Amino acid sequence: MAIIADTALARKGLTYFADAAGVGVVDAQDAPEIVLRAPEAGSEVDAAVHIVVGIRSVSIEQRHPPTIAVVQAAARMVDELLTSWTVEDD
Amino acid sequence: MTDSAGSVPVAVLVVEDHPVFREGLSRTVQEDPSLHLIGAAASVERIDWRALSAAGAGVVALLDLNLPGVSGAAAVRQLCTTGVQVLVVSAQETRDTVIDALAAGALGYLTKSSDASEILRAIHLVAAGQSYISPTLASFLLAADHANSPAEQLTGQERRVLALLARGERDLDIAAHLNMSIRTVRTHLERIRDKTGRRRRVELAQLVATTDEDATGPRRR
Repeated sequence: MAIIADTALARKGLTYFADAAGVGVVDAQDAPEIVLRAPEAGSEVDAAVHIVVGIRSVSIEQRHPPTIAVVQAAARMVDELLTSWTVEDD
Repeated sequence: MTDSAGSVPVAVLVVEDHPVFREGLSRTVQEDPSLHLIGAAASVERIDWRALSAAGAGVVALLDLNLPGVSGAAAVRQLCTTGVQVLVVSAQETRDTVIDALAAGALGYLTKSSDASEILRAIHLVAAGQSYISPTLASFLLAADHANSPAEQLTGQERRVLALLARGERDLDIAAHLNMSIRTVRTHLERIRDKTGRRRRVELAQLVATTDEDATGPRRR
């Protein structure tokens, strides 16, 4: 998975969630299967799945049929993100 | 508690509602051994006040302004009344927002596009009782309308000294930046204080909002 964000703070924060979900992080040039990115960040990387983390929401863009491993990793990532929102908003 | 150099780490509190930025700020703090993260809260209401109290004096709060519940200048004011030194980290970059936060007692103001080195530098300056404003905001503030300002009474050199002070520079650094002696810097600061009636450095830094001098480098005339 690659992390793409337009600010250093967002990159650090997204890396935390990738670590928490146990998803390895690679450079965008290394053909990642998943991209975790901020809405304002560039979306040109052609990964199977883009997870877009907004101010109050998490959305998923599917560009190619993902493998089972990608689906599982993306599910863990989204679950980790949504849990963090739910815990803070309860 | 001491860090590897034997000095007491600066206690830092993060108040930020967005989980990604909260974790980003927390990680930035945790990666600096001279800082100690005492908590990360999603709002002022969720701050662990017992942990804050136990940390003693000199806590620096990294505070977002757009929070649920108490927010903006009111949040700055509430934290300042507890003795915390507030460093705002906000996506809001309007003149009024910055001025309101500083007037409420914030010692510093960073944008969320700041990189880790700038954030750490600002934390250490604020912990030392100095002020720091992101250069992008300082430039913006410097260009703001200064009608009816006591800063209008200042000479060009005094404004340059003031602008560098607002960026968190020490007297020594201001002297180096402007190619003058530290004694001359202090003379300028004393004159600025006399002209404006403001004594504290943070009060002087707030004046930058009403000056039009660019602090990006010395001007030779």
